[in-house]
Amino acid sequence: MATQYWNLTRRFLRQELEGRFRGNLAGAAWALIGPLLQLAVFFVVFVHIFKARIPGMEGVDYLAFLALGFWPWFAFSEAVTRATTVIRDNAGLIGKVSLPRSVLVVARVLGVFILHGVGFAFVLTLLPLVGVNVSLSGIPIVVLLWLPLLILAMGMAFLSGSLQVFVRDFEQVVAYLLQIGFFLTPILFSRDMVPGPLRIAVDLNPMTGIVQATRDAYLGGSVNFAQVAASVGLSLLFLIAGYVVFRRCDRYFEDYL
Amino acid sequence: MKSPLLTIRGLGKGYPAVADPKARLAGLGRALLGLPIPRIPVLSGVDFEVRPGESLGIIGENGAGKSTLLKLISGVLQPSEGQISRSGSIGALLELGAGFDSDLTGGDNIALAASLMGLSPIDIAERREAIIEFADIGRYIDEPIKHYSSGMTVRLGFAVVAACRPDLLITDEVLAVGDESFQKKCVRWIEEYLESGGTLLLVSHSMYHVQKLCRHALWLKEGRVAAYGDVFDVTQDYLAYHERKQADSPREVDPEYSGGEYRISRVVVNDQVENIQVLLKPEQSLRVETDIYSPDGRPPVFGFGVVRADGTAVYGSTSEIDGVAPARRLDDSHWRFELLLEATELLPGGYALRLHALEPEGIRLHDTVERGFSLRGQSREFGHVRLKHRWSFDE
Repeated sequence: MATQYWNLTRRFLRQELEGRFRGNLAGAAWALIGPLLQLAVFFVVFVHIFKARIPGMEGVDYLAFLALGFWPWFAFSEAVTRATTVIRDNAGLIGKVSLPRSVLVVARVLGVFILHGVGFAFVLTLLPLVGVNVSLSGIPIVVLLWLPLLILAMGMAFLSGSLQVFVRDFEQVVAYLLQIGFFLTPILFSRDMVPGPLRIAVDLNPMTGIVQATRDAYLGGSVNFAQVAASVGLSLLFLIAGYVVFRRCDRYFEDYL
Repeated sequence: MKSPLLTIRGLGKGYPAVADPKARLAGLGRALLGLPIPRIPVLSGVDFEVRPGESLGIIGENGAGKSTLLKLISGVLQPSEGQISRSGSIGALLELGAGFDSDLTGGDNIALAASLMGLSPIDIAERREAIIEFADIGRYIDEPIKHYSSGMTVRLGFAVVAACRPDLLITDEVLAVGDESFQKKCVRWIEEYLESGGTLLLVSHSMYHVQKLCRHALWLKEGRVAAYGDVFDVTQDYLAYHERKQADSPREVDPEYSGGEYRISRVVVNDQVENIQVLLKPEQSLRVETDIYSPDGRPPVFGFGVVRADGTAVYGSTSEIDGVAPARRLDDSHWRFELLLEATELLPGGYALRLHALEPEGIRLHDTVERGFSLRGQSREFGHVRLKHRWSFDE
């Protein structure tokens, strides 16, 4: 049963990766080009227009700072966005063959994570080459941090994927929620720059711990493991909640697709 | 007796009564709280079992719930009530292109559909050649499915199911899409599969296919089981029902009538007074007792006819043609006729017996009453009556 589930997941994952950029000239390179362009835009706007400064960070260091926050966020937000419609996208399949529907969510989230994981690895190798001081001992932590990130994204994916089937408006809601989430995550700024009451909101966001620790580990700062543990706990909580909701809604999908 | 492969108890399925955005939100709330959602039933109270080696045909009009039933059995849909217990693998070919992705090539779709049926990548690789050979669609195997004709899609779909060789094969009307030679190939494959112990659930509007491939049949009518049993009995009832549906229904008997017309006042067929379908076993005869009201007390003429349920005449006669008188005079204005009608030369199927009241001259029909009957039996002969025939000219 478990191997059958895994076989199916692999099959859909392959379809996810192959189908995503099928017929595009640049193919899977888009997974890298898109985020890089976005990073470049933010870098130009913040460094050259806003003249934004993070204490102790100049030029290329701020670029590293941005990239280390951006990539986990890209993976998370894209996974959630794409998983929101995954059940509806596969309505034809669900209405015709019997399969564990969670496979579709899992495959889609894994697909996004693989693409951005490769992009992130590329960025991690690139940064030292442009002169960023990297702490080699921090790299394993940076990689491991993608586990709670995946858990969190999976939980949110289960949640939004099942709600979307019932309430079509949810797709719009998710887009705005993710935009708010982007600014409640220390991506463009550091957590310590956020003033009083807003900082509570930022701290409650499980992404905060993950992004902060990624930066600290990679750039040689001291990682706040208590915060990471809190993020891991919250992520697990989201996964459990998301999966419970998904299981409850699963049997009604056919009625509302 | 082998334990059943499939047991269905009190199975029902309904779709949400309303599905506007508000109702969907309410549905979400109820789903999360585990409360039932108000539903319009499309299927209810279905009970049956399928044992290994059995072959069951499911028949019924459009919208009777056949496809819903198959989808419930194959696990595509979840039952609203009742239980389904399955043991063994199920291979379902429910709809055109089920389990296929239209952007993928035929070859990739083989892998997709086969893994949806639970095959491991190794199994798939092993059976790939056999599938391609069975589908027999030539170079199209490397083209995306969206370029396929519906016949080619079905070929590929059936080839995958055939290669998986499930314990229980479920197939919907899809076979009808294939061309003559592919249909024959499928029928041959299914026959061979059944002979080697396979189990089949087939939905079809082709009574020919159902009778050829299935031993039992289940007739679904408006979401309920109308008949379940031997394939010939059920399909004959089903066909008779269709023929009756097309014919008009005549007037009922009025025992109190005392007007100026000759009227039938009572009919008993094989001890049945009510107007319900009479079931005849092979070799069984019809015993018809008919009372006729005569306004002037003179002995009326009684006519009878046998028609197919759609109204095609098979045979008829009257007491006047046969030169017989009523069996008995009941009172001043009622006469009784008794008729023993042998049905041995009729082919199995649905028929109607028409009984007529005529005035003593036997010229004009004053009243007609109809009783349906169906003749049990297994026969693959054609037509309505069995004509005596021999296969040699020698005496």
